[in-house]
Amino acid sequence: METELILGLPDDVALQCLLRLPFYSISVARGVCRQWRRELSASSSFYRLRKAAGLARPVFIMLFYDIPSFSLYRWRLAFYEPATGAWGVRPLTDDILRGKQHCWHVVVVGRELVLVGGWDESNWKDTAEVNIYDLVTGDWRPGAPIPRPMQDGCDFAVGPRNVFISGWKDNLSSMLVYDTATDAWMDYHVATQEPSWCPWSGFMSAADLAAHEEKMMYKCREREEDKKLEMVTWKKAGIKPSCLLALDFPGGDHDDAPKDDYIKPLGGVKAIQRLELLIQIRDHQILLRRESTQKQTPIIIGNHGDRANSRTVRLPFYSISVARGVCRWWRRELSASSSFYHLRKAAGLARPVFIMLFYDIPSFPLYRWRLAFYEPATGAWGVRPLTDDNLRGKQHCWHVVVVRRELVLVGGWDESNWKDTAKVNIYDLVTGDWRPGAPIPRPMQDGCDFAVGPRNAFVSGWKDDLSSMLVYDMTIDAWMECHVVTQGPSWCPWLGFMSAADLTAHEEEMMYECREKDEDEKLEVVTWCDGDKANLWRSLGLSSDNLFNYRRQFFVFQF
Amino acid sequence: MIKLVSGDGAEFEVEEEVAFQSKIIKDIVADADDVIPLPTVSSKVLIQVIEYCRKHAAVNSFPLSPSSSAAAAASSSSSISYSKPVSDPALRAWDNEFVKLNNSSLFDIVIAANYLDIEELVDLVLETVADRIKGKQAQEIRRQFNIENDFTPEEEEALRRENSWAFQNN
Repeated sequence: METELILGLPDDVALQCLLRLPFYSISVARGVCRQWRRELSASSSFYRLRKAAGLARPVFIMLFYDIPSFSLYRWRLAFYEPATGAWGVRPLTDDILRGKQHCWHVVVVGRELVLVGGWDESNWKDTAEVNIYDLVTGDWRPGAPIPRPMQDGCDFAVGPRNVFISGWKDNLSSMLVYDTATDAWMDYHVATQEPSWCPWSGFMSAADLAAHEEKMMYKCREREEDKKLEMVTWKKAGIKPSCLLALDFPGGDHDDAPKDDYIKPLGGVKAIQRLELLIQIRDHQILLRRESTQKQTPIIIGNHGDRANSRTVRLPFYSISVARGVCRWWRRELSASSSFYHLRKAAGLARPVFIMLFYDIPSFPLYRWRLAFYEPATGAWGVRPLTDDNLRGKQHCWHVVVVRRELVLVGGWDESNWKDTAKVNIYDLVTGDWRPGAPIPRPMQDGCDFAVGPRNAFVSGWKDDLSSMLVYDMTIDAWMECHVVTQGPSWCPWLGFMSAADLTAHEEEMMYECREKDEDEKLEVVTWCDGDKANLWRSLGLSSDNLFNYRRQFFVFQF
Repeated sequence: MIKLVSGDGAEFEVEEEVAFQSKIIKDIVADADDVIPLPTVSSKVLIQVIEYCRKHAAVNSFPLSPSSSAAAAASSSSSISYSKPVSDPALRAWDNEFVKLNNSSLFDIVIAANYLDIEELVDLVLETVADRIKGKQAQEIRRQFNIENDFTPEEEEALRRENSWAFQNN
């Protein structure tokens, strides 16, 4: 019954065509038929492909409101796409459509608008509701409610993936964090960082925000895909506030006194320009362009650059670290932060790779850690040293998790003093690069256990109490004590999560289980080679004799 | 000269630099004789594709005249195009004329261009098809591409309310 996406075109070509649709046409195209809707659903690979193909452009979003009658706020979104000059307005809330949604406390995380706090119109009261709106698809989904409704004096900031509320508990320095990945609110305690530490450059606390509110009016944030946050002014982006206001209200005149928040379009509707948000749906394009101007030599001589690139993305996992040693240009092309890895994933070339961590004991009490990998799709396998006498010999590998494609190693070993240290090191399984992480507040103890989330490392059994938890957030490189404030006691941060108590009970079983992680969210438990251990050792070219007594760890990741 | 043979047996003689707009032809011509059969491409489509390649080969092989390069510089500073821009305004105008075809002819061309790996032409046509979708309402898109509406009326109403931007393109 599946028909072609566009009649008369092969699906891969039709998809190429849909990828070229601008931001504002996607939500319309989703209403064309069920097949288009499925193709353009929020979770589909469509958006990743679009980014990877360099088709994403910056879009400015402005949130503002109408007051059709006193005490009723009806929220609108305006967008402006500088590259084409296209703009448009749409209702975010109306009487039917989430009329009661409050839009005072709003941030953009990823491509979603997180709206914190609802409004109970009949009782004139704030509610604790949280709703999340996908700016591209126009879908709504509920979030975990905030522990208590927002108060005056609280302020709001956005991290690469989290929503931060400062001024929580009537104290400017207190902070509440909403993690969109795990859908939970947590009290934020920066355990290991300096008092002046800020989660990312450009972060403003509630106090800062209050001091700069005026200035903030015409500033908005430009975000690079994952990490960088930069402040840009509307002006820099080529939009003057007055022309911006003009385009928000078709046919309306306006009074653009810059000190006045209010503008009065012809219709007599009052609107306040309260929030200006810039979302970079993606600036991959810029990234790609920069790379291409940087370097004229094609990656493989005699080949068209793109074509060569499409060949290198086909390299298997284990060839990447070798290819990085070929020349500087390849090294740059394959650097951890390059778009190469996005392209590779988006092209559907990633396959599951099993990783095993084990050790040799060349002399008592020296542990030398090794990594073995096995790629089920091809049967390829290999072993490499992770630590040796020169190479981070003192790294401890007892407390290890894989977060995305990185190995997070918590705790070092001071060989001369026979003591655990608080060191944290992070190893990129693909590129083979090491980088230091923020040290853990105190060295790991027996009885602590370790779990991995889609983006965080969790240590449970912290403080000699099974229910206590410490979280290491990879994005902002900080350790936090985790207090799940709003979830039920049986809440778990993601499907398949095990507390320290669970882990102890299942330790034996876990030996031959490992986790398969899907790109962002899903976590699934698979068994290693269907439980056939002998086959596993054979696959790895190891006999079970030379693998006696150690603790082995298994990971699966998708690459 | 390279000889291209279409699916219905017609032969077309083209100069190398014209044929080499297609990366596939460029790749295979070195190790084959110079008659290239293209069984999946009909004569009608092949004529159009050759016309495009001829035009682009001619423009690409000559340096831009001072006036047109100045114009190109001026236009590139005022508008940011996100796909590889065709820098010569005359050529761009020619391209715009070239794609004034109905959907099915365009589709045939893009399939052939995809097969022959003529990147610029694929980009041009896909961009054109995308232009025919953007800024339209769902009903117009369905009519344009002959797509059956398989939503129930209630679903459709909900979708319309949630999904549409009141849209302007300056």
